[in-house]
Amino acid sequence: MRSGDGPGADELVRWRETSMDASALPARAADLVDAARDAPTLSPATLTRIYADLAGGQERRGSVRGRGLPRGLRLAAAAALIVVSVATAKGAMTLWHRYVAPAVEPLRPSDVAQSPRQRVAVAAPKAPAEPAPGVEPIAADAPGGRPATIPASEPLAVLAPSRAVPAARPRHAPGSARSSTSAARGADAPGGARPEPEVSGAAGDGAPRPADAANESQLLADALALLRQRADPQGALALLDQYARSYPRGVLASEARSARLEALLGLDDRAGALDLLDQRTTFSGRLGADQLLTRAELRASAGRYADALRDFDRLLAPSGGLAAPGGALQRALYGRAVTLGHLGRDERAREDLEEYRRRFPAGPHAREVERLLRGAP
Amino acid sequence: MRGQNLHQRGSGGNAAGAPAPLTFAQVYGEHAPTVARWAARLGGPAADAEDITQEVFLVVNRRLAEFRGDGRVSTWLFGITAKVAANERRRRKLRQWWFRLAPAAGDDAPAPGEGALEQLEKRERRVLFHRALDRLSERHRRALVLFELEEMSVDDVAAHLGLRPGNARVLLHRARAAFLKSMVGCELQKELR
Repeated sequence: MRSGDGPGADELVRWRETSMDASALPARAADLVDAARDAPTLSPATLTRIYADLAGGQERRGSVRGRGLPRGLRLAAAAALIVVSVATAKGAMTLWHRYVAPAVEPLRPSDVAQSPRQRVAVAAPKAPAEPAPGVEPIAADAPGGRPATIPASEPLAVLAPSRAVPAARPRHAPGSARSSTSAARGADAPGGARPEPEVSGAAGDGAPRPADAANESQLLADALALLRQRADPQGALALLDQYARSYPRGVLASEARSARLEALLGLDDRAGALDLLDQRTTFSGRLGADQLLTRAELRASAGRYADALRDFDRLLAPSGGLAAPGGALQRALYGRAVTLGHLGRDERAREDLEEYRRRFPAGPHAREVERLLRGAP
Repeated sequence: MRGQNLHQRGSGGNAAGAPAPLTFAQVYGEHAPTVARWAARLGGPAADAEDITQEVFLVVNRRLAEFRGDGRVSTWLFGITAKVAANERRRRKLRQWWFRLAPAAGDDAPAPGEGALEQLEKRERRVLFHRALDRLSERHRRALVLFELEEMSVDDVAAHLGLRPGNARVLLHRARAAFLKSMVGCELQKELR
């Protein structure tokens, strides 16, 4: 049978009608066509049943699953789905910012690291553990032929100039870090008056929420709100104690420990803070580096220079986490110089001071470094 | 039946001589077996021909009044069947992808009066045919089914596809060449498996 009626139709011969070798492609195709033609089709009984279903207004086996829906309804359903998705995502973000972010973000390195340092620096003059060993030479060949010296109370006094350094404000809660540091600074305020804590609008809009032991993150968030918005480290410590009792293996234990450190420093309990940090053996990541720096400073201020030097060395090692220049690096460099001075290792102390002057000519300790290098008292 | 116009084919007429519109029952009675066969051949072995047939006639029932009657009923029905079958194939592929189902293995219905081995071989060939067909474009698929399986003439193929005969011939040439290529690919794939 030819395939077409028009001119040229004889060019098209169905594969089934070709008389080629069985291995030829058209012959193989003809085999397949034969098999496909023999596919079973619907029986008359089935067709009758379909007709009965259609005539009766029924649809067999849900064969038109949703396909009979009007287009408008389908569009409305799609729009509703989008709205629900967006609302869910927004709700999740709101919950995150409401409960999780306040507990986590305050523990960022920029926040945790700055406040303790500030407090150490501020509280330094009244440290009871501060030794007063007199004046120690830092270099025999100081400029002008006069020996350069470091004042006796340097570990804390040297840190004192940092009082002039404004505390870095955390990104997430403007004013929160400053409020806690300003609370700690209250002892130095004129007249000894404790400054009013700055309360940010977001989280400090009322009294702290009652702690809910069933909600770990909520409890920690409450503690941080007390600490940062209400400048109440004592209350924060109470909540952190409650947290420790309720969640001894809580998933936010590390954050709770950082918050406790901040609260202890806020209370000027440097011994307690140092105890807390002394219990730690690992300081990983940026946050760990900042806490290690705090420990080094606390150890130095407690007269544990050898321990402090180990921490400073660890920090300033190429893999110490302070490779990038910044506030932490200049603090570590300066702190090590002072520590080395107290240990009588003047050459290395001078190297660190010169390194500081080279890298941070306008740093917060630049004037003090100049003074030490000149050997001025 | 094929090639008849709805109005010409009406059983009666009104006083003015206008042909009487065809009823759904008439369309179903005359075309249901053909539509069912198209459904099976266009949908492939894994298709639910019954489902496709029912859906085609649902559409027919809904749109019968819109049919202008200036074309063949079978052409109109083929267009609907091809679209419904294509949609069904797409849904099936999506389901297979989504649920990681095993590839459609073809129907298990045995051909009557054959031995087990013959049935198996025929089934494999049928599966291979549709696997090769699946790699073709929708236009090529329709042309090939009409020409090779339905054994329509080129003119009828052209009419069912809404083409001129010359264009239909060109389309058929391309479709057949594409099929042979696809078939070789499928055979090779089967050998390598």
